[in-house]
Amino acid sequence: MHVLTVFILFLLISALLAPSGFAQVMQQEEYILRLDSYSQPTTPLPSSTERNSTEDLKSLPPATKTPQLSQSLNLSVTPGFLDFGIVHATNPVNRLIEISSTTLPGFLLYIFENRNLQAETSEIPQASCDSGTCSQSMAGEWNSTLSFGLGYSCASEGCDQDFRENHFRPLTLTPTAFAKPDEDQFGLKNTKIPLRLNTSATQTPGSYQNSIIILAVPEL
Amino acid sequence: MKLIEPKIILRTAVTATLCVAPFLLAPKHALAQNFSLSLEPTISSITLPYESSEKKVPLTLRNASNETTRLRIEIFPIQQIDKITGRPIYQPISDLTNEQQSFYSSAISFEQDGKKITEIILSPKQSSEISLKISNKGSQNISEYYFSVGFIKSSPPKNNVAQAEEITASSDIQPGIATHILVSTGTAVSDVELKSLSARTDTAKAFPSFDLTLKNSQNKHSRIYGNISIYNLLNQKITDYPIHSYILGDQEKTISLTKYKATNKPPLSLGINSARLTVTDEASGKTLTKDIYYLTSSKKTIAVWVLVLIFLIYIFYKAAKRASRL
Repeated sequence: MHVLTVFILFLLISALLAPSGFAQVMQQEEYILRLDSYSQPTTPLPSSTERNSTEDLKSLPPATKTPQLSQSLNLSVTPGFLDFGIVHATNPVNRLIEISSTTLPGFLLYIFENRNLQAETSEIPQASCDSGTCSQSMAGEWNSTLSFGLGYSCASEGCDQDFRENHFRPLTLTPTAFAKPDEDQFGLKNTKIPLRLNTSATQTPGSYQNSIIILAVPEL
Repeated sequence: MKLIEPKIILRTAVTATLCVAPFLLAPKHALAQNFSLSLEPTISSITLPYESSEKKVPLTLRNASNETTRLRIEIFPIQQIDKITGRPIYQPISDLTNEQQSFYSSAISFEQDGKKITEIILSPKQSSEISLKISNKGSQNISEYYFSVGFIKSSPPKNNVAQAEEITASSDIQPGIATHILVSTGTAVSDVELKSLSARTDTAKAFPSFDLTLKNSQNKHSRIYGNISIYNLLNQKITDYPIHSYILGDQEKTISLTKYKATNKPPLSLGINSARLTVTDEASGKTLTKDIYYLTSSKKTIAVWVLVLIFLIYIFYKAAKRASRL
């Protein structure tokens, strides 16, 4: 029984002394991880500009004096040009934009259009979804072939939660956040953005064009 | 030796051509848009204390790709920060007041080598520094401006071929990156107060996460810095969560500090830990502090407590047995 007592005491003492024993090793692991991913998530580090604009940084605690590391961002967007082809009235056309990125944590993805799809004399409106309730910040269900316009969805990890199956938001002229990289993953991998275009029978024939912008924005 | 008939050769050639043709004739713009750009800094805080003052903010861009990149520069005014998600919400251009429109159209410009620019062309692997020039002319009544500057890959305009009898549609897909600019033109001083601090523990790894809510009650953005230090049961400091953030004027912000923000991985600790918050509002110099206690509930911690319990039961059992013998 004495052996059991000594064994249990040994376990307890080991557990109590563990903090100082593990700390150095784990710190090294964490450091490597952070170096690869270095960004300024919700807590951006002071930059040279910020240092210039504020003189009183000598009083900053050591933790905030970490050197500024460059923000490197890679976005690969496919396709570079999206062709909806010939669009027949009440016959929705679905297309897909894929973003593969090494976007670092701390960046959000925004989307907007420079203008509504526009031909010489007319334009295709922004999507209104089935019940007309989808908005810039809230996706709505879109199954009806009698709902018209251009809308987008998001179907990957990191996408906003309102993007359920067959749920779309209208593409608007103001940048709107739609996805946030998961800190666990160190970047979004192959974010899929389904686009849907549907026109009414009264839509004027023509060649409609616009630009869709995918913007990576740091958290503030 | 048997010769191959000319007909078979011809058929094979035609078949091969038909198979390969679609790939050769496929439009080049169907390929991916590769965009590899670094931009520094990600946030700039500017103070323009005098009516006629002017400041330049250096922005450094680097094209890390192997192709020449043309970037147009766009400004996106920030309306507010979403209280729940902490995301910037941009203001529709049509909603800008006359004063705001005047500021964004006349007080902001971009320069490269002393010349005004609206776009920038970067060769492969080229770095370039441009200046964002801000003056506060005509902005006496508003003291705060928040906006993002976007650098968006431009592509040459496509020919608009009219189709008289049918509807066709196409979109250029343009990637971009943005940086935030926070401008103060007034003399107000921020006033940040602590609304709440709470801890969440990860049952799998004993990593605590913290939610810190701060409120700025003045119309002047503030930079706050500090950290949350974690202490174990023996009052040994085991890790820090550095805090460096901005609270916009008249806004409340919740900062989530997950395990990835910790300077090192918190080691195994027994049960109750304490977290000590210390943050300073840079403009006012006000320091906020708060201590909270939380229970770590990792599998390892639970295992240690179970062992302690077994040990205590064993001691009591042994003591009781001795007492019964006596």
